[in-house]
Amino acid sequence: MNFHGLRALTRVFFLELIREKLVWGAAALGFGLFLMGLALGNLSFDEKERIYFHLSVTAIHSVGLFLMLILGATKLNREIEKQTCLLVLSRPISRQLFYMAQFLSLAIFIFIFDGLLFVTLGLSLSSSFSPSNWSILFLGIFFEQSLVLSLAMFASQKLRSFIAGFFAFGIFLVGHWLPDLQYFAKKSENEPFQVMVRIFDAIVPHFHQLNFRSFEALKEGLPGSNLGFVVIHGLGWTLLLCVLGSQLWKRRDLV
Amino acid sequence: MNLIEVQNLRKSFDQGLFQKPSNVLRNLTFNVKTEKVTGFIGANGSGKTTTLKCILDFVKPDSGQVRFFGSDQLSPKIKAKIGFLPERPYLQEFLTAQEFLKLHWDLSGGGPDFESNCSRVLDKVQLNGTKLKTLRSFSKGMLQRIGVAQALLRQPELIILDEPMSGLDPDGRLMMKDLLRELRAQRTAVFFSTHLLADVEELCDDLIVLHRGRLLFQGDLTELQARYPGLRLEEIYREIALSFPEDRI
Repeated sequence: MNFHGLRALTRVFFLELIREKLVWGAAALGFGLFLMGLALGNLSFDEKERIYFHLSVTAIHSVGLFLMLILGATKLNREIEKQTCLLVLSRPISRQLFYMAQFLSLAIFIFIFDGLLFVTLGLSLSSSFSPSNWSILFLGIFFEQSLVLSLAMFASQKLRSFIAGFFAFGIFLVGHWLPDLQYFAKKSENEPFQVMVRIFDAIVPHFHQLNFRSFEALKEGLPGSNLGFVVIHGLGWTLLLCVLGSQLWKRRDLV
Repeated sequence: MNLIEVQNLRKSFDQGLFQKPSNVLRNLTFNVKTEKVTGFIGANGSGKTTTLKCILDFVKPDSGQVRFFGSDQLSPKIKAKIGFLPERPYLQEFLTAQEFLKLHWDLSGGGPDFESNCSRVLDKVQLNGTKLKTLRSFSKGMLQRIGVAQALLRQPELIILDEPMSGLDPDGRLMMKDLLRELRAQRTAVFFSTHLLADVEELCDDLIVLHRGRLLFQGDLTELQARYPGLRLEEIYREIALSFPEDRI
């Protein structure tokens, strides 16, 4: 593995990324929602912090998700459309390394983006909470967004960018609805529906177990096993999708 | 010795669900020799860029084989011996010339001799005074030159250029021609595609002529010119393209 190449390519992709207007637009939207949360929180006498926290975390979650869906679904297809990858790929690096560098640059970006917003949120709350509780919330959202990113990049290898984005969003929704689907399957006597839910349970990442966007979780904390699940499940699915996606990328015609 | 051996290369592209695939390359066979400047000519749409992309593994051929330096695989070791510049290269405009070359140095495995190699290639393309300027401030000709500099960075045994004169102003073209002449004098193998026949006549030892995805001619340029005494290359090209029966296409 050419680590020099991976590091150099990830760095340059990251520098390209932070020059994209879409990224700055999303960052502005994120901070705008933060300010809105602050204003709405101030309207309440008792629940000021809770309202502000929930709106702000929703802003971090949804803006990050939107960015990862759009960038993940379009980045590699754009490289082919504009033929921008040819010069780099003529160098002695593999296509898989190129794919990994694209993924890493986006993952590092969302890590910093989420991190900055979380620090802003932490500093603007009047009460202080345990750093380990903050870490679980942060890692949950980060791994969820990385997983969505790997899903969108994987889908974009076979689908048009627009459809790949919707596909990844669809899987994200199903992953969140799994407990509800399981509940309905249990109540239902329709066997095909039960089979379908069992299949979804096996092949769709459990997004509902990856994040804890709740003020209670921040206050009371969560057992360590939750953090373990977040890391293993999130990282495992992300790695699997990256490996599969990079294999498809390796076989693509760059025309 | 052959640096590239292309054998029976075929490539077609799907046009849509109800349309026949378009055959872009049809059983193409040719060789690129060591220490020679080889021109790769053909009309627009004749398959020059697709051939280069098949050679460099950007496009997977339907059938056929490409061998580099006697090897079947375009391994990283083989790739390190090749310098390439695409037709419209994407250069990261926010990087300085030096940072851009460092990126390509690192992508080729890094190493301690970057500074000396960077100065060498910047001198060669006459850009040493601008190494700390961002590529955003470069003219089109300067961008093409820095593109050539990255191709020369690792002292490759073979340089592949796709339409290197395309879109250049007269000064840029002159500089590019001088550079190709210098490489020729140093016996570095160069394989470049173009549709500017005057450039081929001036710069090349060997010639490969492509017409609608088929090979029309491969060989020594002077031999070809000897076959058609008194004719310019433009006229020779017209002769051989017209003599090619349409039913073979």
